[in-house]
Amino acid sequence: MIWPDWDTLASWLELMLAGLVVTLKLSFLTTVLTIILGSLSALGAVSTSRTVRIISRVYVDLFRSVPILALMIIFYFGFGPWLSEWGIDTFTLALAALSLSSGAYLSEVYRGAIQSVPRSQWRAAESLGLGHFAILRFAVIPQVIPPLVPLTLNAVISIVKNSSLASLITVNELTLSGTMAVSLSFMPMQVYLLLGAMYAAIILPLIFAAGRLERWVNRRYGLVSARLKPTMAMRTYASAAGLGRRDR
Amino acid sequence: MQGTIARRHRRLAAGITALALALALVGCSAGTPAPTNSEPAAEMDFDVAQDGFLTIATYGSNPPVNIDNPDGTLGGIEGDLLNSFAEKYGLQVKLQPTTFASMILEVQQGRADMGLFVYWTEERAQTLYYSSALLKVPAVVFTEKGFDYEGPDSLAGEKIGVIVGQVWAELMQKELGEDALLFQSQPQAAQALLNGQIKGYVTGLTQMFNAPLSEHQDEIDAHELVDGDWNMPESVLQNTGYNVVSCENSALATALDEHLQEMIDSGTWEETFSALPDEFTVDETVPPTQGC
Amino acid sequence: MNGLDLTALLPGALATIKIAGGAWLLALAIGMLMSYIRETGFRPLLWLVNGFTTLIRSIPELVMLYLVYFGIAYLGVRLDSLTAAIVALGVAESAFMAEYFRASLNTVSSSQRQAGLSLGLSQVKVLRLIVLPQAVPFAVPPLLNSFVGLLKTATLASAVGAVELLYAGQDLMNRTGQVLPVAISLVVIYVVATLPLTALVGKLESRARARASRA
Repeated sequence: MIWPDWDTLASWLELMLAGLVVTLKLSFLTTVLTIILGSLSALGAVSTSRTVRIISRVYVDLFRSVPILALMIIFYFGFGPWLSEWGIDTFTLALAALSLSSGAYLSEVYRGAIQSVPRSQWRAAESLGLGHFAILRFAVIPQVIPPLVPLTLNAVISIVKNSSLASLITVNELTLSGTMAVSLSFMPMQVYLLLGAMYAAIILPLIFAAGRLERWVNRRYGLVSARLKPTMAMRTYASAAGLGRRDR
Repeated sequence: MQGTIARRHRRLAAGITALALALALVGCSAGTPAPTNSEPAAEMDFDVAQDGFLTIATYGSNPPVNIDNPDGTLGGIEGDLLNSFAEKYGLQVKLQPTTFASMILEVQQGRADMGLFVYWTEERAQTLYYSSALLKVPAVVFTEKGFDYEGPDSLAGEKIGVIVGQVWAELMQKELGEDALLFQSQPQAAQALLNGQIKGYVTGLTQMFNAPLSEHQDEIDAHELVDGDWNMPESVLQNTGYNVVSCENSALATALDEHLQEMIDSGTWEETFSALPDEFTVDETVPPTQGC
Repeated sequence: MNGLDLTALLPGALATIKIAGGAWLLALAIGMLMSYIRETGFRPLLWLVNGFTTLIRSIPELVMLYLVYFGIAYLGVRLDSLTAAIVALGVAESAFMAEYFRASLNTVSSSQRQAGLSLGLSQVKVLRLIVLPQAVPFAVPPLLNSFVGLLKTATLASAVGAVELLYAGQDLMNRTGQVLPVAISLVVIYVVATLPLTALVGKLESRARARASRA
């Protein structure tokens, strides 16, 4: 394998650092939107209104089923004529596709957490005269938030990884800058290794943070997180936190 | 200056009509399978990726240069050249569709024997071995029909599509920053133009005749790029295309060059070219500088 | 839809199933190997497995695919795009598989293992007779879920030119110009293919949990 000379390496880094900024921006905005969407949809799923519950269900089922890349392609090429009239660029489209998809996953995680709180607690709170929202606000949500922090962090990891798909609909993020570098230098192994290293540099700290946080939460809020552990959607992200490490 | 562009534009439109006719002819001649002759195959002093096949990486049709027929056969000028070349060595042409950026890697890595119609750049020459020049194709910017194009300034602030790996991509990205959208494939960029998601699409004129633009020719205009547009040097505007092979397999390019010379000597090559309009000029230049 | 021939998507759908199935089997094999290594508890190997899974998890599948398809080929191992997709997605998924196995093995308490060992059963017998029968019901739902996930990540193979469902759909869009009908068909196909499986995963899981709480 030939190693690139310094000039070549510098030209790659110049391209890729610009891409890195876009990846970070895209991931950050997606995270914010995902948390908002996931929370709203989870609250909708436990709503007292049947209509709201159905809307939440349809949203989750639809966006969980369609692959993110398919969403991006369909948004961009399928609905293109209308979206471009509204001045929506590819960055925004990628942001929408990533957020809608991750939001559906996170909604399942949050819903599972809310529903893991035993009915007895709901009844106890109801007997105190609290309404649906008050129970959620004062009794349920405060106790599920700590265990949800590491799980949300795992969603962030998936978001950063999935943001690479935006390269395929012309968003000039890290992966596309790598592809550009390859198309100019024809050293795919070297460029993609560098690319992998750059992603690892963002994601490894997140993985370690998620793992630490999860162990800390388990120590501090053992009972609550034990109830949370087996919900299905969580398993989608669970792996990233090293589920079960504490059991040893 | 404006007069020049207008004149060029007119010339291009006339050429396109002629080209449509020419394509019909080229397409016909390529469609008929060459008669199988019992002549023994010539001895091969080059390698092929797959035994019995001449595997050709293609990033889609570039009429009249190469036409990738749906049945997997190759038409166009490349078809005339490569089908007879393959037959001479007892090989069968096999198309391997890919994207532009990947095509060069496929050839470099030996997954495909040959890449079709690639421009010469110093970087590419270090990893690819070039065959003789084939012909020149003008670089154009496609816009929607009726767009008042008066040079790059009229597209200022608009999104313009380019194809990752094509020579224009890097230059446009440097010039326009995030207004240059890097598409993976030509049909994608063309679709975005038809959708109105990009206002311009810079590539070779040949894409006019490739789906989906070929189906919507009445909705688009092609404007030939001139020296200095988006600060591009003239060398990338009237560019000569070559077929490329990997550095390790330069014997394949040599064999192809010999075959081309035979076609020129026998007059068949001239026949192929006689139907082409002015836009596609035969290149008489010296062979490219090899960098292998 | 005047004459939109959706059968053109069929080869693509088959390729998607091939990629997902192949990657799933590969991930299963590597995942099993890694959890076996973890069970043996030999430290250096344990570190190696943990380091490998962590590293794999930190790289986007698309980048992994580029590495396998273009990177390794640069070194002389040329995989076709379908095989490259199976390898890249399989390796990426194996890190998760290893975690599913570990999580499901951990549902069996260590006191049961010790009881088995004190009865004079060998390690292997403890695993086969005591641990696995209880752990398998917990492992099935995530394994099925992982297949559903792979059906979706198989779309990435289009980036290296494998004609899977999404690629076939894009091709159909380009050829027919019927962009929206094809796009909607793709959505319907993905929903119909994955939603029942996802529902089954949920059902199997609650059944496994109910059985565990009865025990």
